[in-house]
Amino acid sequence: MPFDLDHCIQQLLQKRLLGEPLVREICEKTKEVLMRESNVVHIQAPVTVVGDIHGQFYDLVEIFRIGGYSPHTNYLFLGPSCPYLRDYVDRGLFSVETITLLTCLKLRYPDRVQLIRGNHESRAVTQTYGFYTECIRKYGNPNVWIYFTDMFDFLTLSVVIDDRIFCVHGGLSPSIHSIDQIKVVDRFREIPHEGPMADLVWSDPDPDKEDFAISPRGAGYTFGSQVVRKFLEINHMSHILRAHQLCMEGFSVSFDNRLSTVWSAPNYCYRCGNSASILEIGPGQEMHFNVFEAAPENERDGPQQAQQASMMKVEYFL
Amino acid sequence: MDIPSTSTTVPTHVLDESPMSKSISIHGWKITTTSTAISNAAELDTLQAEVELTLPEMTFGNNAVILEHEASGLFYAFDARGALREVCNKELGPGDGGVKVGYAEDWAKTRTVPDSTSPVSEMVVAKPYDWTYTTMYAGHGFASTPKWQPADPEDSSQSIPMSTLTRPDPILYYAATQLFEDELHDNGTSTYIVRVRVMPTCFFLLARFSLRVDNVIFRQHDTRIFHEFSTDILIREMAGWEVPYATLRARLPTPDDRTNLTDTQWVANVLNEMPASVTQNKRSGAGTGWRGLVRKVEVMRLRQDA
Repeated sequence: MPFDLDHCIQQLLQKRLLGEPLVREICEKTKEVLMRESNVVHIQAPVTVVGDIHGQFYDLVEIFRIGGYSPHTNYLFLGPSCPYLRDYVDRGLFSVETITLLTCLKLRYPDRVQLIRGNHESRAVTQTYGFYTECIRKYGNPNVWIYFTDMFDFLTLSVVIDDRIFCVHGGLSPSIHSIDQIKVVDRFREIPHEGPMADLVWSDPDPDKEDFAISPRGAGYTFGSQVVRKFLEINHMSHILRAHQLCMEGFSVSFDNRLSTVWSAPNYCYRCGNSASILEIGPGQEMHFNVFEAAPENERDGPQQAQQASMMKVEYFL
Repeated sequence: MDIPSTSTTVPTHVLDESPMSKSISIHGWKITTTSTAISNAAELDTLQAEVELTLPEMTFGNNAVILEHEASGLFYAFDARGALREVCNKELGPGDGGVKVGYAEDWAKTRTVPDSTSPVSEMVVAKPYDWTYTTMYAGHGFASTPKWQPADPEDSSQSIPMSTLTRPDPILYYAATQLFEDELHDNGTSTYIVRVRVMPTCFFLLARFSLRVDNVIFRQHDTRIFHEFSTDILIREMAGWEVPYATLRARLPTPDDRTNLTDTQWVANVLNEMPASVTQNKRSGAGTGWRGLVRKVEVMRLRQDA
């Protein structure tokens, strides 16, 4: 390789941006790696599962501090959800640093770092929210945004751990009963609004229901207890792991311990005050939610100040 | 207590601040703003059972702004429970202003393709509720609180004096808190924020519900509460706005950068600059027939101590 990936990773861990040509090359190479992956990647435990991060750079570094650095710890990111921060705060965002770091790690250790596509790894969402603007601010043009969003089209849709644990960003789909049906989805594209690919990144569990139900929004599904039970039975699996939903405790377990939600962005949006977790899965599939709070660096550098300033700024509002 | 006659005299007041809440006591009033973490799982279960709808992903059930005036028995609060109780939790009807996501029609078409392998015998629509969390919530008073009455439109002392609010008087107390926020599954944002400021002669509160449904609509509902300490009335103004998404998008300074559309303050400013005949008229608006597109002014008389 014509560039030193280890050096890139070290730079990024110190929150230093890589040059635009380098990002382009890294994204190109990563695409080649991702292209060879199936829509269902099979891996073995031990592995540490990470949920949404939402561009909270220091909290990602905190995850490596408590969970171990690559490649000593194997990582599965259930939807990097990096290029996204929903606030109008226009400074102190580190989505570019966060996604560049994860991409470099994937490229450096392709078998020890897995990235699953989430609903935010899309052009439409990142253009409305901060990532597009952040790229322009940091690089002077939208090229880096184009490199990353093109690469997102190659991210896999799901991972299976030890043939027993099914991992996805959002949830299940009424058009998918067996994981073989996931394997035939054409995933190399922008996330569509409908169909199995949309469902996998978007749907949410509803523990009060048994079946699939259509959301009152007019699009999207929720899935209930029978759906979870049947899916696990048909595929000879024991558990579903997903991200996608904020919770105060940092994780939640439902459907009689058949499904877990992992949330890895502490103090989400720098104001939710929630805990976060990573899920450590041992060699025998034993699970441990390692709960953590916001990294101390957030106190002195970044969006938190901007956020507090914008909320707390004494203003002659009318 | 003597009421200062000039706006520059700072009256006696007590400020109290803890990590989660901030209050001011002034002229017999106490105003408290709480800003803390989102609700935990147990709190959400209780709230969900009460309001009977899927809660916003960020529900700040412990945040609140509370206005207290002991002499009149007034105890008036803004909180998430109150705001969500006024969200429609059944099938939406005329006036509710129901909308679907931008691609709902396309989505529905793909669903009509028969899928013989589906194990789902019949697809049900989840319990209907207003997924945009549209609320015209204007705070709620506890039992002893005097009642709101329609303001006299001829009496200028019964409307909020903009001249007083634009005066750069010192701000003795400022606080903001959020009651809820939801990203509508990447289809926009729905949020409710309350802000309050206290000046030497008066206080002013703005509670704002803001909604953006991408490629569909922008909607806003404001509640403003004003009180001049030298008077015995509280004034409350409520108003709603609505425009098609494309109308505001066309007003972006740079068409490719939609960041402004996620800034509720920018949206509010633009809505304010547009004529009410466009933004606050049921027949124009965004054509949803939402009943919130009206402006209402009310007053509350603060009884004096017996």
